Amino acid sequence: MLGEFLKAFEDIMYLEKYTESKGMLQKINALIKLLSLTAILLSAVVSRSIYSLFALFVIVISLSTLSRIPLGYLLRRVTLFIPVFAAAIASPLLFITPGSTVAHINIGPLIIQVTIEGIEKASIFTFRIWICVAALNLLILTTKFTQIIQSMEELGLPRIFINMIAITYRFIFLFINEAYRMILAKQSRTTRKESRMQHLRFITNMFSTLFVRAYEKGERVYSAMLARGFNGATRTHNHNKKKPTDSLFLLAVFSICGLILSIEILRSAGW
Amino acid sequence: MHIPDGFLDYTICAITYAGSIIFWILAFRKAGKNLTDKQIPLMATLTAMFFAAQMMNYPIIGGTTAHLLGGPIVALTLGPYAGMISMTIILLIQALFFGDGGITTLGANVWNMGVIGVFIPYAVFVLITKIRRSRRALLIGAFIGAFLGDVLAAVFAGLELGSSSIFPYAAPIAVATMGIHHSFIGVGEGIVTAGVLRFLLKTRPDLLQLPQFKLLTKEL
Repeated sequence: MLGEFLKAFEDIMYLEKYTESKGMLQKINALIKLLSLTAILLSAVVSRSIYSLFALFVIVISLSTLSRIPLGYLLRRVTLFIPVFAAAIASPLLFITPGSTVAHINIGPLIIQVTIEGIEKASIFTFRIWICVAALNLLILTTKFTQIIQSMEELGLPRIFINMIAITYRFIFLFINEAYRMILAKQSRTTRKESRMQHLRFITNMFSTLFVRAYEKGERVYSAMLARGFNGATRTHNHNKKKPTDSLFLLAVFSICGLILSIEILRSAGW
Repeated sequence: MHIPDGFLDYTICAITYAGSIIFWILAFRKAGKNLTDKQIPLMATLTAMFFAAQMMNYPIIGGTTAHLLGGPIVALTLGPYAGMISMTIILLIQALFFGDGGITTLGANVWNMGVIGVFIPYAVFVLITKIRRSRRALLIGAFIGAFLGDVLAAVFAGLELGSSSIFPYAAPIAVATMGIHHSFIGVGEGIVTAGVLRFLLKTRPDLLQLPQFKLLTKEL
């Protein structure tokens, strides 16, 4: 359990590392970026052919390079978790999809066949997920938290929601740290293997203690806000100015995605 | 349980977004009326805490471990509508900052964990405490509610994946796999949910807001 918390710390530490570099995506308005990366995601979700997916792959990789995110870092970050899991989910397809056999394995009397159709199905599934995860990561790596909040405001989401997200995000790190210290303390005074029930009891106690602390913290935060003159209204400074290049970027991404979509629709209509 | 982008086709994404949007509108209307300025930072720190607490895992069968879904305890401490908002924030931050979940699948994830995973535990809890009003009924209601909430959330996730044309397996396989796996997770979630309520009833009953708790603490 400690390992996971340490990994979360590492994620948080490096989260905004590339948002400061002077790359292409970093300069684009956050709302425009959100919209265009969602367009890429949707095109990937709609695409059935490996060619369309490959075109999206090229777009994602070039955007990442133009944004000065090291390719190795992106590949590691994107591939390691979800796509590996997706590949594991897809692996039985190699054997159960009917089609022309490319290889077979004999296990005693049992013959397991690998088919071309199976390979195609499994690789398209995994490849599509890789592109989606990569596109989402491009957004995460190049956008600051405040910019995302700002773009949510521009989208017209409720004020209460925006305020809550802004405060929540600031306190997540505090509570992750608090939980980490509690687990560390617990593990350093545990000398033998615990039963499942004991472990659940520990989680319950820790959860309850954290709940009481969070509640009290929430009350103190409100008092602190009042003491600083909070009167119910929140004003934010708009960092997200839109430039002509933003519209150009959006237009370019939308037209490429539109092209891919129309090819896909024509293909499915039997062309 | 967090479905990433690329697993659900656009029809399923659209349907689940539509379902979640209905509940979002209801929840924000209610929040706009009922939430005072004081409760916004309170809900925010509690949401941050739930976020951290969800990272804790516990062993289930074999060598595998599981995370809490968090929905049931959120529902029983904040109420279903505020609970849904809290879960939405958690899922949104997990997707947009930690890459856990996705943008096109946010509707589905909110539907599974923020609507089903919150309203089912709440409904079961209210039903059981209506039948019998006692401390034990309260804890049993919390346990059963959390268990059913987790299993049903998983069944919905399985249904969505199984009906998605870009997911390679049919619904029965996806539902069975998700449902069976989450019935083990559900037991742990039930124990933790009931345990946290027991702890709070004993030490800080004033923090529990739902009327069911108020009635009970008055009677005791």
